[in-house]
Amino acid sequence: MWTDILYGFTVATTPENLAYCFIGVLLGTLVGVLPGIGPAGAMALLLPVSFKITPVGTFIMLSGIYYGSMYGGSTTSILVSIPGEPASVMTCVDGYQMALKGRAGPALGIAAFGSFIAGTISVVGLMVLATPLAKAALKFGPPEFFCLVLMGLTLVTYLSQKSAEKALMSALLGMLLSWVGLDLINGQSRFTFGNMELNDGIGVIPLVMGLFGISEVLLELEKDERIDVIKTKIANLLPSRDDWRQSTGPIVRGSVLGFLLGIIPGGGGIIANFMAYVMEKRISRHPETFGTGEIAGVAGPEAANNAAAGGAFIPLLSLGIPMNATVALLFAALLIHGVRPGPLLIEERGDIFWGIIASMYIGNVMLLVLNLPLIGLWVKVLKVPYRIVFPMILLFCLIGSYAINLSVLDLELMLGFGVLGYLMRKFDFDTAPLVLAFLLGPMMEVAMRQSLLLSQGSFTVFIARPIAATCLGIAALLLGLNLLPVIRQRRDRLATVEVK
Amino acid sequence: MKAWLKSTGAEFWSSLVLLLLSVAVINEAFNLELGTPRNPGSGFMISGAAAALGLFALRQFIASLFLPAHVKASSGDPIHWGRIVCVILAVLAYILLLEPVGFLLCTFFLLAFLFQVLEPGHWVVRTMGAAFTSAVAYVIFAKALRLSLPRGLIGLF
Repeated sequence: MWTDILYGFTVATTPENLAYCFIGVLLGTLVGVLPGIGPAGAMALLLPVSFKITPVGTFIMLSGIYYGSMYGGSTTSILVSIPGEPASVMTCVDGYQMALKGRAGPALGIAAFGSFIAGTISVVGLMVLATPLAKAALKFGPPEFFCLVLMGLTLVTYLSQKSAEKALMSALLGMLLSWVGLDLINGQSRFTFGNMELNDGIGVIPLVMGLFGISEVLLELEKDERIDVIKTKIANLLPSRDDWRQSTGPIVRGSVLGFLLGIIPGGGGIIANFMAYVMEKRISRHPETFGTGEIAGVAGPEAANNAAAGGAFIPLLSLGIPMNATVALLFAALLIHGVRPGPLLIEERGDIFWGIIASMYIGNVMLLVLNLPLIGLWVKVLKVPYRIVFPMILLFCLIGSYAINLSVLDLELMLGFGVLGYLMRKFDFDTAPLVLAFLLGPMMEVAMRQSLLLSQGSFTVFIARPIAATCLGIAALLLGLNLLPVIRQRRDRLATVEVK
Repeated sequence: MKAWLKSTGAEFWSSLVLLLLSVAVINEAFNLELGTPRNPGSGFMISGAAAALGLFALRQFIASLFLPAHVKASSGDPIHWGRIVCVILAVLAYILLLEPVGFLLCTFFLLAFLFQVLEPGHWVVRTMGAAFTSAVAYVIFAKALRLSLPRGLIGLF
């Protein structure tokens, strides 16, 4: 392993890849600071640009955006009480209170240091776990892959922030959209309506740009909100000894919890941020102090969301299955470059795998350096009026979608998905399951049909094999839990959390 | 009719649309080859997924008919529908005119319009801003990144 990680550093420390890493973490922090565009939207905007760079560089840059946004999100949470990213929601609670008490500096400082430590821990975890998991996954056949994907999608819908039933419908819609075009097995045209351009299917870039970029802009245009940055001197960014004493435990606990939550489907930063806060409050000797400016309420959640970002890479790189929408874009980026993430990635493209791991170490250091001294700059960025930001986002989306195939159809699809994404959010449908199902739909269909061909039409193939049966059992259990009215109502009630 | 429309809610319309969509997809899937479990065809998974979607949508549709009226009513901050519709139409016009008119002109007009959407005013400054941004976008994307953007009327490319 040590030779592999050293090889990774030789890949990641080329001037070109260092530059991509820097661009990625800088953009990620910027995106994290700015409410209204998330890492998924930023990654979607950069997907077309990635055609011009190498797969390693693309992945390094986009990964940097992903975990960089977790750093940036805490800045707006603490200074404005608006989470820059959903994964920083709980940081608002105590972070903003600390800022009101004149302790914005220590809050921002401990968020940055906690994120750095958690990011480093999660990269070590990724390094240790990914290889054995990939080796185990080599034993998977079509039935295992089908059931694993089914379980993943079911878990994503179960953990959806909104209605689980609507999340299931969203996933089913995503699957149907993924099957537009030529059948991968027999070449028959499906839902192309005679349009030759649709034979290749619906492009992932127009879909994600529409769902994440355009729809987000339309949602923001509804409101008249103004961002009022707290007027306080931001000093003492380096936490004191007392701050460290109070924060070390939460950071370590948040890192472990976040890492584990990042691995599971639908997990990721949002749930990690929330669960870490709940955990710290529960085990604290003075839970009544949470909500009044308790530093553990910042350190734990911020560590958790960064660790979750690292954990999410494990199923992507080892199994080739993205477990949340943002990581799905990394999956899409690799597919665009003809690289298939999965169990064979480590063997066939060790430069990508170990290069990414090494770049995550480097990226975490860059983020620590960027976030603390440049706090003043990020505060100024927050004040850029949205009437200037949103036209730029729209323009990027339009150019990005057009540039792929020079096709007006892609632009029309993007606008259509933008309106669809907007309507989905208005009607309380989660868009993440749609994207995940869209990306996994073709793999799922091929796996299902191959399984049935192998078993000569017998569905027992999914039960006879232990891994497939286990995944199927979990999926069935989650589906049952989703659909049982009593449990669904209680889960939906628990899912309604208001940040005051 | 107006009262009935007002009394129906988001659940009603979303589930109805999804139900109709699933029926249409199932119909289309039967035109494709469904195959058999021994040899699944192109429509096999599609019909299954569409049927599942249809069942969920039907359940929601029926449930929406029995929702109390106060649950159906919308609440919250006022929504600037006019802005949203204007932006969608502007982007649609951009898309339709991009190839015949050209990237530079279309981008200029689009940005000049969008800069006015949130807070109308300062026409001169914002129009100059739109011109500057269009030019910079052209330099970055067409020249530096060498993307083939449409020439259109001006023929500057």
